[in-house]
Amino acid sequence: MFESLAHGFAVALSPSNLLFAVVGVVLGTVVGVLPGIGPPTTVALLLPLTSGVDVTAAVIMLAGIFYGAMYGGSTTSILVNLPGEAASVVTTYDGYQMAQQGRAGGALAIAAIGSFVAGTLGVIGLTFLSPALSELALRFGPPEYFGLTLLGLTLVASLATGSMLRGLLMAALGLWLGMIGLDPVQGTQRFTFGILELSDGIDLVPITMGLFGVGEILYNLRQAQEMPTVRRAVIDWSRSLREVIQSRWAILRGSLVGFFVGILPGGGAIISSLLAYAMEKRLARDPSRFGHGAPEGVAAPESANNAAATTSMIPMMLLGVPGNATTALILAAFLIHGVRPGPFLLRDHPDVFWGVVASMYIGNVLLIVLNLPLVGVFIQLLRVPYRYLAVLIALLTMIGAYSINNSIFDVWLMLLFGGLGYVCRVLRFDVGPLIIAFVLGPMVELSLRQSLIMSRGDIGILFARPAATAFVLAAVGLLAGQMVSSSLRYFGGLRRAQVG
Amino acid sequence: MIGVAAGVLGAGLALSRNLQSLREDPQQPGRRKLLSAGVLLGGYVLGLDRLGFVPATFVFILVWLRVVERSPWRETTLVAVAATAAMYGIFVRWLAIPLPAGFLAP
Repeated sequence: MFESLAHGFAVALSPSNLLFAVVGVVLGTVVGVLPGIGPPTTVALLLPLTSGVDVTAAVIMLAGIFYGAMYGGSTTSILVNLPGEAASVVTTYDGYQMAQQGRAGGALAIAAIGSFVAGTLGVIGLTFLSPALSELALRFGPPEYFGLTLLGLTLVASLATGSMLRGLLMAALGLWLGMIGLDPVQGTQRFTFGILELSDGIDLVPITMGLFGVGEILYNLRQAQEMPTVRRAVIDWSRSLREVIQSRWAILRGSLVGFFVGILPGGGAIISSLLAYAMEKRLARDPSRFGHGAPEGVAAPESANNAAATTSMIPMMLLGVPGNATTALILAAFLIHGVRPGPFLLRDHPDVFWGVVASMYIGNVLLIVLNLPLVGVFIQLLRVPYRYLAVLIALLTMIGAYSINNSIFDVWLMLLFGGLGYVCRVLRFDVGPLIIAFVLGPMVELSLRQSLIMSRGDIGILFARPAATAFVLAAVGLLAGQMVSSSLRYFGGLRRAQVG
Repeated sequence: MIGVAAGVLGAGLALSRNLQSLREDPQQPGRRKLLSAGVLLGGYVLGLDRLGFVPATFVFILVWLRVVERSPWRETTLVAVAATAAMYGIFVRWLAIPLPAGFLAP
């Protein structure tokens, strides 16, 4: 394993791959700092453009954007109470308070160092887990994949931010959208309404660009927000260092939370930052400090979201099952280059896999070097009026959508999803479950049908194998449990209304 | 099928509530921006084939900055020229992505 990793470093340190890593993490940080554009949109935008580049370089860059954004997102959360990234919302609670108290430098340092430790721990975990996981996954067959993807689907729907009902609705919509096109086994047309362009199904990229990119722009226009002015941040190194040491356990615990929650499909980074924060608050000797500038309140979520971003690459690369929109897009990037992620990735393309893993170590180092001293530079980015950004993003999404298939139809489709994205934001629906369901749904269906073909129609095959049974039961149990608890709450509420 | 019907009805309800409040206060800057942006996006796609990439992009940026963001003329034209040139350089020259050439085609 270590020889493979060493080989991976050799790959990652080649000048062109290194360049892509730098571009990726810088772009990621920029995107993280800027509100209104996030990793899914950026990866979606760059996806069509990576087709000319070698697969390792492409994934190195796209992954760099992903975890880089987790570094950058904290900057605006701390300085202007505006999360640049959905996963950085929790950082606003204490981070902005620290800035108000003149300790912005410390908050930024904690965020950067916490992110570095967490990211590196995540990659270390990735290194050790991968061979074993890959071995295990090689023995997976359609029934296991069915259970796994089903579990992923239910997790995504129930872990979505906002009410579970909204998450399920979005997932259902995503499932339906995933069915548009040809039936995977029989080849008949489904839901194409006679439109020729739909017979191949909808591409992931226009949906993501529309829902995230255009939708976000339209929503921000509607809000007509002004960017608040940024206060200057002076870093008091000695005090910051002390606060970092004070938060060391928060960083460690946050990293662990992010590590495990990140592997699960669903809002890995967001959920883990929330969980890590809640846990720190519970464990603190003086919980009342939280919300008023507790350094641990910055350390925990920032470490968690970085660890989660890193480990969320694991199921995508080793099982072929993405857990969030960004990894789903990186999966698409692999497929564009003809490399299929999954258990065979380690066996058939070890240099791609280990090259990417090695570049993640390098990327984390690059990021801490970039983020600590250069934080002032990134703040200047916020001076660029959002209006120029909006028109450029709109333009880029349209060009990008066109360039996939040279089709105007795709652009219209993207705009349609842009409208949907806007509506979802207004009605406070989280768009994430839709995308995951869109990607996982066809997988669920395919594995189910393959399983049934294997067993000649006997559904018992799903329960004849231990792993498959475990997954399926977990998925059903999760759904059932959620329904039971929400109906208990509902009826409890009715009861109280009656009695009171 | 029932799901689709329910979905359409729900969407219709949400839309009608929005449209109602729209009629009540059309002065709100946000709504104006949103509508003009929407129209502009559609217009760009329609114009892309007819006008070609470069002209359509230029007009798009110009009109957007002027109408949606109310930017001053000098800033607007500057950004429009610079951005269109950049887009041309990146997409047509460097990445060689086939984009509609419109009436400027050879």
